[in-house]
Amino acid sequence: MNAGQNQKSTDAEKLREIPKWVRRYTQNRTIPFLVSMVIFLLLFTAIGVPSYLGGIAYLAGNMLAFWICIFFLVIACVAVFFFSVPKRGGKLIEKISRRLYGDEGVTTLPPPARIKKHHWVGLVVGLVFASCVVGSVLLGIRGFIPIEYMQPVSALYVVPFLVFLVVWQRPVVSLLSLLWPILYALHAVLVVMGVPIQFGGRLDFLNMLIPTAGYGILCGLLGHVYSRYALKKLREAAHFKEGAADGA
Amino acid sequence: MELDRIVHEPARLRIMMVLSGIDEADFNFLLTTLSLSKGNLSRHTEKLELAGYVKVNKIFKGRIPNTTFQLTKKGSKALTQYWEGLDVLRRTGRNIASLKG
Repeated sequence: MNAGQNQKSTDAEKLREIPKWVRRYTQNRTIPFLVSMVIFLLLFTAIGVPSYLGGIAYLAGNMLAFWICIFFLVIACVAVFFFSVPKRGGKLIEKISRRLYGDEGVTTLPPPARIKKHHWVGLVVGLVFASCVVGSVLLGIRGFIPIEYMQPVSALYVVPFLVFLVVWQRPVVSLLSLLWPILYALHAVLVVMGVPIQFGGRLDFLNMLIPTAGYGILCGLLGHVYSRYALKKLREAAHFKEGAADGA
Repeated sequence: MELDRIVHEPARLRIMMVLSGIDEADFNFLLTTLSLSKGNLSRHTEKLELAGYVKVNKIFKGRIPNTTFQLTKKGSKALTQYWEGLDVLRRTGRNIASLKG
């Protein structure tokens, strides 16, 4: 084989890698997920902060500050209602994501046939998950679950739920998403083992927020970084010099 | 053995290879990934559409036109046959070279 034939053979091998890299890139386009997580955190803060400060103001007898907090709380609740309608919230997420991706363009993978065919499975799992959340919160409020063990107890249903979501949506989502339930489970094990990774006092709420939103955002960021790598590999494989001679 | 001329053209082969890995890609994605000019990309996708290898969807996102492309079953089959044909040609070429050597 001469140098020219070798070059053509290498080019052909590179071209054969295009579908693999474009699929991996598409699976790891996590900006819409990251945008929705940031919106979720902003709404959480928009509800949490006025509720907390409003409570302090009420106890201190400062009714002006209390009503200002209630005003902001109402605005936050309206925002939650606005974003929970998929048509509106989804459109906003799509709009922001498009802007963030800029000229990169859009690619999609087909949703697996099983999702359309067995639509009820997703509904049943969602219902079971919601029941578990409500149940554990009620048990926590009634004192049956110590507050420091809320995260490990929640791991019993959050981890299978997240694993289900990844497996159910394959190949639309990347296997990298499994890192989220893995980190969540690891966090729970460390808490049970007594490793001091929990917040105390007023920062108590972070004990649930960090494993849920924090690890989710971390996985989203890792996915985004991987999508940059996949895009680089894709462009290397697919790059076309205009005016080049015919032939693969 | 003859290779499909529609598929064999380098830019069109790349377009089809990109589309074979996913469900759908828009015009901007193909433009930036393949480093083609807008005119050339339009010309090649038109040829692929005429051959029935690619399905073109033109929609509006608000006021902005958005064109997306999908590889058809016929296109997918043509691509598979193209690579099979190329492999046969390469094997034949290697055999001839070894006989000469």
